[in-house]
Amino acid sequence: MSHCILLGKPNVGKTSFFLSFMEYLGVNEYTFELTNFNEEISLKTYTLNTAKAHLISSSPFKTKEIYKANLSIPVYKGSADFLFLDTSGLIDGISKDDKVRLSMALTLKNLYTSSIILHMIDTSSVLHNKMSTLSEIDYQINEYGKLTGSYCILASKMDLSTSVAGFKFLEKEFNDTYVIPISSIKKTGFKEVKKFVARNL
Amino acid sequence: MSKKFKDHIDHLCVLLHNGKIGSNELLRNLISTSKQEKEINNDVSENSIPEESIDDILKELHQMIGLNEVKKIVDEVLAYVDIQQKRKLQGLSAAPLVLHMIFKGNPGTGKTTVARLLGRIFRSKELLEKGHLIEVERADLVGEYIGHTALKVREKVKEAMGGILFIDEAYSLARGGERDFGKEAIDAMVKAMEDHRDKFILILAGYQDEMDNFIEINPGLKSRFPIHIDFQDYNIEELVEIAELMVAERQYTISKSAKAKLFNMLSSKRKRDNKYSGNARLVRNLIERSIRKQAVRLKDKSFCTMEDLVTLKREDFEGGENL
Repeated sequence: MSHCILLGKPNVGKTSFFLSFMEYLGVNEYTFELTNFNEEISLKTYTLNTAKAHLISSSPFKTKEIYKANLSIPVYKGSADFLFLDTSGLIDGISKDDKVRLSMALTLKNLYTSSIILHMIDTSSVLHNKMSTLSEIDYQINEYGKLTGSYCILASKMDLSTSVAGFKFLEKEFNDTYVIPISSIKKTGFKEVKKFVARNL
Repeated sequence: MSKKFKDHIDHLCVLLHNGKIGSNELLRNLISTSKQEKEINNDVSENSIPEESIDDILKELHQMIGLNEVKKIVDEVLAYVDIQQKRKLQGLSAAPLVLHMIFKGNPGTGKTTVARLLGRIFRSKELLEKGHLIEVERADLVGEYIGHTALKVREKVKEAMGGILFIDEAYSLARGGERDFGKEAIDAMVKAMEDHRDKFILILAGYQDEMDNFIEINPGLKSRFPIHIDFQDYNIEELVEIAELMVAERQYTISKSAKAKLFNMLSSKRKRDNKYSGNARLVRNLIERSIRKQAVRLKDKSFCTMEDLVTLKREDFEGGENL
């Protein structure tokens, strides 16, 4: 089964998108596979609201494990299954926090086994200096992603006022990559993401 | 993604977790490895030998008759390799693997066969790139004029890169006194061992006594070859077992009285020639000779049953004592 990985800096809205996208695909029971560093697997089941309440937070590094969900997307007359991976945020350099290092190691371990890479960048903070602002690691993910072929950038938080300028900047900066503007709150851009994933399965 | 790259990345992830490297270094590595892999995939290598699983090769080794000491040492070396690799993964210091060996034993005790198997084992363990065996003797290494020897040695070492250089009757390099070029060959060999430490494995083989003598004369050698394996002579029962295995491989069987004859021949030969009796090689020669004799015996028969075709009888072994 193809693995589709969602990654990016902390607090760019990966988990929000992850849950909203599952909702968009018509999932009503949220069962996640959690894999820790020693490759032991555990299962967790949520309803939509508890999942949102539990997993999403405005503070960075809320997600510390890899959440995996089995999804299927309609392709032509049938449907194709894939494993959708929500990961924890990536930052530059060496973190002091042991848990953050562990979660980053987990994310990167899953990166090279994934065939589809969705790279999320926060458009609202591109022109500011926040934790979620574009940095070296984004350029590296971009370079790696282009090598693998099925890679696109999700420009998130398009509902915010500062986002349009940020999106324009991203398009210009990564002019050889497909950039999809999305908003998890307004549920815009999901159709394009679905199409992109279906095309690469 | 191939296993080698996967292990490499897994190792980096452990380092990242331990805080030895940053995320940027890991990604940089990931980018360069996947670029390399792409290049490798692009020029699809035709000469690549299919990978064998280590279990199959070990099974082959353990199926060999006798050689208990050899099997024990191979298991030891493999365990050592495993642990060193694990230590490295945890960021502990891992001693470089020096796997140069000395094989001591009489002719036909399986030295070359074991060397060949070791090549394949180390290849599947990724200690050697190719795992092939280059077999050389004195004449391949010792030159005719000053400076010629080093050149010849270097050429052979180059051929053996990524595999095993197997020097049969290695003690003969020290023969011939002060003005012989054999000494030069030894020096050049030692130099090559130091220069390409983990690129190839050198195995010196020869008779027990002569090899012991050889190492005593060249004290620098002893410390450079950490692994010494003694190949004991097979006893007669083992030799008969080997004979059975050999004929089974060729889809023949030996009749009971033929087996008794074989037993007699082997023991009388052992009494007469002692350590030069030939061991497993003698068995092979005897078998091959009897197969030829069986063919002659059956040639004029108008109708051969299946049993006729596969059975080696007592008379086929007749006259083998003089082999």
